[in-house]
Amino acid sequence: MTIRIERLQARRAALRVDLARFLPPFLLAGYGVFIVSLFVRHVMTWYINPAYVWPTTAAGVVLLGLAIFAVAHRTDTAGEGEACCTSDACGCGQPSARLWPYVGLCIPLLLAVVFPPRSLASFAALQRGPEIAGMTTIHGAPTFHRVSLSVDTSTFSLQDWAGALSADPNPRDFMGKPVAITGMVLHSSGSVPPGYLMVLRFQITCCIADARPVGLVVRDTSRGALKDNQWVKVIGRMGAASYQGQKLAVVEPRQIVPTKAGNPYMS
Amino acid sequence: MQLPPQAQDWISIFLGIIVEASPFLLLGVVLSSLMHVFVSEDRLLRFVPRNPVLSLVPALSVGMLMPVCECGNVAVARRFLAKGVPVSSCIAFLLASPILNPVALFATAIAFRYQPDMVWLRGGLAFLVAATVGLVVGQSGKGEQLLATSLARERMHAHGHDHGHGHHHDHAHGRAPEASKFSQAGHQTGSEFLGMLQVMLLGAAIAAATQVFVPRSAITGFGTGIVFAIAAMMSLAFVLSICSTVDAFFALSYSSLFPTPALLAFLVFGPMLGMKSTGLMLTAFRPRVVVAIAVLTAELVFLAALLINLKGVFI
Repeated sequence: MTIRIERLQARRAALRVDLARFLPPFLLAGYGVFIVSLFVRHVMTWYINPAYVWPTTAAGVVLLGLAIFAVAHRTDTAGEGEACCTSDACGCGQPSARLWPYVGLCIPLLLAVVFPPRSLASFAALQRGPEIAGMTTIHGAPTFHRVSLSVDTSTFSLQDWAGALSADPNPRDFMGKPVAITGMVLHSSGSVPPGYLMVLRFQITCCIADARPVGLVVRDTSRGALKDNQWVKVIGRMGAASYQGQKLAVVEPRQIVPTKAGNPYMS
Repeated sequence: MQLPPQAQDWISIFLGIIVEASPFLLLGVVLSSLMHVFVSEDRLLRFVPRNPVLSLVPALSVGMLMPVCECGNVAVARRFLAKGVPVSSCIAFLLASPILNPVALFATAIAFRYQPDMVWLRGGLAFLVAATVGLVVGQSGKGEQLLATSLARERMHAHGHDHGHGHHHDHAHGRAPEASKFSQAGHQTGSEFLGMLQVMLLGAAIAAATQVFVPRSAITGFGTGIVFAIAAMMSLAFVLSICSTVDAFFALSYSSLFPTPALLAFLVFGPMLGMKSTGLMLTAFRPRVVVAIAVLTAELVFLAALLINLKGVFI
């Protein structure tokens, strides 16, 4: 009986060591595949600023290379030593015999597999406080610049309008200018005048942890038909409204058309 | 699967932080592994003066040249510590290098091009705070007593190679052939990356949860006045843990809400201590040492920003 228990314990210990050998390359490959797959599926910018896409993808490729190297190395040295330390970070290069840290490392990979990338939406916008172009000075990206008033504004994106109104918040300078913007709807009674809604996107500096909701105020002509997070294309002209004692640039829509969801992030 | 928005946002932010930090963490770990294999303790320590104050000079100089932000520099600092570099120098390097590196300073100059003083004030304040915290905390105990257990063991046996568990590891010191050294560096990189990622996940999880469950206005709306403004921006920097190479652009977006000394506090405190990097620090130092570093850094940055406001540097 005692001999059988000892054998079982020895077999379990051997299994743990085997798992500890197998898991690090598996996890390195997992993170490599996760990162590279974001690039291949063109969804990496749903997590980070486009400026970081190339270095991040390169890191994914390096992680895959390290995983292949680790597997080859294990094959070369199989049976030469045994798992020794209790921490991967000890620097000795031997696998940890403890398995629970590897379980923790699996969590992000499982989350990534089960829940495909989804953009931040109205909840995050309200949590972070929406920034209204023309009311808040919106800094943060070199593309936000002052535009010449003689320019045809019908091609302006939401980001262009945010930049223009940041540089010159006086609505009179934009009165009657054509507007055609796309973004998601947010009803934020605390941030916009009654009867208006916001059409917004998120501006990313580094990753979505710092994303800021930035939008234009649009007169709500839908009679409640538009819901939060719904993507719309707004076509109209720039006007002005009074809000909290100041004149605010607002869009007077001619048409608000539901549209396919686009990239919610600007950088 | 449909999740409540809080859970969905938490997952997105959590994964976003990991994806964004991966290349920087990997870069730091690669540098650390190459140093581990190719630079012997003797050769490294030859460049570090024994005097604690003078030893800060090479540490901060290396920090200026190292192209790593706060995710990558912990791995490099751990390697310095393992090789026997004084703790005070390593703490100074750890705190200053994310700010003093040329990429971060250049980004600050671009973002605050209408306030060029911000560049030298950020760099200078980072230098002073890092050196002071390094000296105070680094001299508060014997080197190994301040370090995380596994790192202290590695440092103690840096030359003996006896890990105390019945076998011998060959840390290369110039005898192994080049191919073997690269193989060792590759193996070390994978193992160290996973080791540090384990800890970073915890910081990322807490940072994401704070973002989801604490409204931004609760952090930035402490109250009015310079004291609250500095406290708010330092709290925001700690919670957001933005990469030091781009945080200047983010700080700029608060320039209409907060006075410039508060933005300076954000730019100096954030790269030194964020939820993400504090977790990583625990792989190098004992928890009480990390607390001491955090408290002292927060106090110094807060007081310096307050002093700069009183002196009216930005007016």
